[in-house]
Amino acid sequence: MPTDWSKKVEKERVLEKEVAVVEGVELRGMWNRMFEQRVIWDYETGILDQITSLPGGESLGYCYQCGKCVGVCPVDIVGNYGPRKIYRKAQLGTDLFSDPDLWLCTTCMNCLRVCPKEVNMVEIMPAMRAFAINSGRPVPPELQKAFENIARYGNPMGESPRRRADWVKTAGVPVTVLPQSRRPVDVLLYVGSYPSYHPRGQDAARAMVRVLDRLGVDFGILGPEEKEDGDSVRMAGERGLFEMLAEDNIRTFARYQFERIVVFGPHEYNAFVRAYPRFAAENGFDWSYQVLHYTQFLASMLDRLQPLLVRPLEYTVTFHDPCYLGRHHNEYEAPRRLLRAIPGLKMVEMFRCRENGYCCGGGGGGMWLDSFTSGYTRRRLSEQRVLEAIEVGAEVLAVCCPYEVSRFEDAVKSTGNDGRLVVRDIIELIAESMFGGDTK
Amino acid sequence: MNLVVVVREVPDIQEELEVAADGKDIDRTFISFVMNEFDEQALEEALVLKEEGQADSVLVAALDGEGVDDILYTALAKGADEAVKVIHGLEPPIPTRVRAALLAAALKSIPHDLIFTGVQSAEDWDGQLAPLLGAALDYPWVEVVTAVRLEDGLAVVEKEFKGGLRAELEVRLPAVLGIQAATKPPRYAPVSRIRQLMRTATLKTVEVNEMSPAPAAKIRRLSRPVASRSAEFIEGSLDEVVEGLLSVFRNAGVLRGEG
Repeated sequence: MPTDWSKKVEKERVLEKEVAVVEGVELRGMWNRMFEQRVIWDYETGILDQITSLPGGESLGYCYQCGKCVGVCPVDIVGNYGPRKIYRKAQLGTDLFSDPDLWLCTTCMNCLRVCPKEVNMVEIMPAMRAFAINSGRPVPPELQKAFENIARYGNPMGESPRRRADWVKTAGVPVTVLPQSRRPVDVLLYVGSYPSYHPRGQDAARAMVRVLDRLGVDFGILGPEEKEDGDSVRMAGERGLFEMLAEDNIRTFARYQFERIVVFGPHEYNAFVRAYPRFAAENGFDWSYQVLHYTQFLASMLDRLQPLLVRPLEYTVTFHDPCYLGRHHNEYEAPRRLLRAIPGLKMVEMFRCRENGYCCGGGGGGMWLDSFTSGYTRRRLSEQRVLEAIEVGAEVLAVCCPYEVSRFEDAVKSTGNDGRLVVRDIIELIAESMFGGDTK
Repeated sequence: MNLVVVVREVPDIQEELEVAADGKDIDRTFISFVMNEFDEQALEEALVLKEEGQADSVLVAALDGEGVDDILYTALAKGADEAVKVIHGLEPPIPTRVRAALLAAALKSIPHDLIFTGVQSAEDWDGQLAPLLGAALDYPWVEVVTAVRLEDGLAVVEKEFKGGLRAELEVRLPAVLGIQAATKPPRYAPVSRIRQLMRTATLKTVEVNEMSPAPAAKIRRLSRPVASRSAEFIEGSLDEVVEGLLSVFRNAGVLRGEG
């Protein structure tokens, strides 16, 4: 029975000549039938065009909706969100600049890892957010507060900049605060906001300086002159605030003499390795520093470090790869080498690890969107990760990003696993093996 | 319909405040200043009215003082059309009566139909600026306003009273409103816009020279609050803590019986 196409397509869309001659062959009637562009082309492309016309937003247009990204998106695993879904919503005309989806991406980069078309959400989302913020659309209140605090005080908590180095008083070892001593040092230790102010971050900061002191590293910190690096601010879309912070920090760094920068956090690492060099080149600043994450720095002197790790730690430990050290900078080994150097410690890997490591939820501004995001997910990303650590029988969840200790400790409590899993920065475990005692 | 929002700076209490050597003011040497939070509410309410098409323009005005330029640029970044700095030559702290007199003099050269200001400010909790400004200009005024609607020649405002009571009042214009809270939280001012405005925008100035001295309260002595009683900590096992809490509630008379 011949197909009755008239019921399936609109008649006026059917192009059919009575006779068409194609390369000398006469085609009659239905044999030369053509259809006009299908309905998909009738979608309103305004929003998509708007996104792809933003600097950084271009690659959303490359998406051919294969959906590989959704399977690895950490937000989709606990909610209903993913790059392909973003594309689909844009196609259907949702104003993504005023949609909650604008704020859910943590810029973890797992989608880009699997994307055959190199649709780069790490650039698309910050570009869209920047457009939304600069065109006066509302910013989630907790993120707005973090922006305002960072702009005013140089840290997201709104603490006094003068007290940024207060933790040094209880470190137990001498720490050179460069604005006071003004002497050249080998290593500038860029501490970051969370190790400077958060109680659990300060534990790690104290452990760090004790370890560096024991290793005989000649280091100094910027103390009250240090400011938030601004990388997560940039990812959250506040480009102007990032530029202000980058300018301030670049000027501060230039006032002191040091050979290299060692950073506590992967986000600061990304800032100083990727974002600052680009910003400096575009704006006529000098930037030629060697930058290392602390796990890389310590792993590079493992021959000196290992003999000092004398106390066995009989823990089963799993390691959470920070997105911005692993996927963003391809560093999976340095933290694991440090953990393996600790005597007695047993390593287990989680199901999602290394290149496919799960995200703690703190990146891309997620650190300051906790309540907002939890309104669109079944459980927090940090809670999902804690459950994954428990699943493989870990007693200790080891981290090396200052965002993570507080996030995961909260998640241990909120999932009812208090007492079953402890969260430690790698530097705390190293200090514990070096000096004994619980570093907490 | 031209709206004017009067804003002011207050000390940023992020840093600890000290009493100055003369004991009559806070030590202003090292402190920084932020916009009074109630003025932020007043500004937000005015900007919302403009966005809704109820008003044509929003002008923000402040008496000159430390940190005022930043505050005015931030207000412009949020969407105010113009910013005016009132030059007066007085040293802080400036009593509310004098503020009202200076502002009333400045407002003579600023076109306005309705004046907004925060209901009070953290520096003195005086809460008198709206009434005193209304009196100085001979305009009606309303304090503790939580919503504003404009209808031909009238402002319909909601005023909050004690115990959750609210009144809807009609005020003929021009008038002065002391804003308690805007209908939505104050918006964000993107840093790039503030910085761009600092390079491109100009703050207008109005100089106020002549004014009859307003009677005002004098500060005789400033002192830190003294802790008189400390909080009671209920310690022990969970059961003991619960029992302790219950007895606190029973003693306070909010809980009866054993339940």
